Amino acid sequence: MAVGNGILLASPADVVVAFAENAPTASFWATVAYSAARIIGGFLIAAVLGTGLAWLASLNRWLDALISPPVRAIRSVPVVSFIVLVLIWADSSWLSVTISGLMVLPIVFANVEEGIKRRNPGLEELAQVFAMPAGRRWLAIKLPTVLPFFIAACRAGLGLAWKAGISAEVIGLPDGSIGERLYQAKLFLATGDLFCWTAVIVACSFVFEKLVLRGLAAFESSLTRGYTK
Amino acid sequence: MIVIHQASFSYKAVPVLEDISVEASRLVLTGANGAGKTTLLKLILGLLSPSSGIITAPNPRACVFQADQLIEHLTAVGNVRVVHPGKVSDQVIADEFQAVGLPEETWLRPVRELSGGQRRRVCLTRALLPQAELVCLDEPFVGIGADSLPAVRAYTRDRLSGKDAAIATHDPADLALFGGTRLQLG
Repeated sequence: MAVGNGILLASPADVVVAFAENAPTASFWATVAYSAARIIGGFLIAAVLGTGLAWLASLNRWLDALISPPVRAIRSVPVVSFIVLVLIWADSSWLSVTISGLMVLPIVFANVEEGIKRRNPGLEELAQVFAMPAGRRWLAIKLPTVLPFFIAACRAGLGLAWKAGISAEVIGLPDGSIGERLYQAKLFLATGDLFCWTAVIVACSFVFEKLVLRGLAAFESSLTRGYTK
Repeated sequence: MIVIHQASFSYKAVPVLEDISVEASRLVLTGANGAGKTTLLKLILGLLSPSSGIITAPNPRACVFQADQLIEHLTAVGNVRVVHPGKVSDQVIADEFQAVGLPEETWLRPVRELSGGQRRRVCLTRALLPQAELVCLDEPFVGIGADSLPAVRAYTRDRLSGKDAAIATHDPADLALFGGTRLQLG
């Protein structure tokens, strides 16, 4: 029934037309930039904060008891509760950065904390016996142990950041965001626009994921090569 | 000179070593499993502190650990260089690997891909480069095949020349090889 009905299910041609109409306009790119900047910003803040909190929690069990429960609780709280809270507390322009960050934070925290726990204490003894300076201990021993866990967290968190960020925008409707354009597509039953913006979100998420993961993979392999040549 | 004066060590209130005193530049530790050989090596290296008594030993130090303690993602060369950066040339490392009998095709492979005997050779090379004045060896020849064992033992004895050393071993051949003072534990 949906086939041939441009309102229920836009054809690929409708989507291409919608993209061709939108892409040359400055507002299209401004909209992409608005949402991308906030979602990527939220992801990066969560990556840094999650890593920092995991490191703090690993220092002693009191800090762990203080930090772990609230960070882990974020995972169980429905995302809409955070969205409503942000809308009550702050301007909707903060929505996607906050929500994408909150969704990524517990993933990064849990993975990095696990990576820190998996460190081989024998390598700390090696570093101590051979009097390795602190910088080299970090680069050769600590970082390579934790990095695969951080990369796994990024792999899981990157897509989630985009999904959660855009969902939050659809609810909070910050001016000039992709979420607002998706909402408008719903209002005007413009399914072509809906699929066009969905494709843009998927493309942005894919490109950002590839860039981040390739960068991290290059960094990881530089750590491996570092002492060979 | 390794100086141990009335040293004792307890772990969770259980005595592991009691009232050990010895002075030697070569110390061969023998005893059954669990007698405290590895613990005493760790005390000599400064990785543990004695519950009572005094232990002094020269610096800089190096060690062949019982469990290798290689950095798995690094190559054989990388594992040697990471503890001696800027201090040893490629040629020195290549010469040492050849001397210890590590095949050339393994030098640039991550150590996680090497066999037990090859990993042990990397550990020996890492510890026996000239920088250290004290070398501790914990069961250093475990995993090395019987056919190449005499050559690896000779390499080790040669590189230990002029250095203080403590070796934990079950093998009577090591006693004859390294000489020095024997300390029977347990």
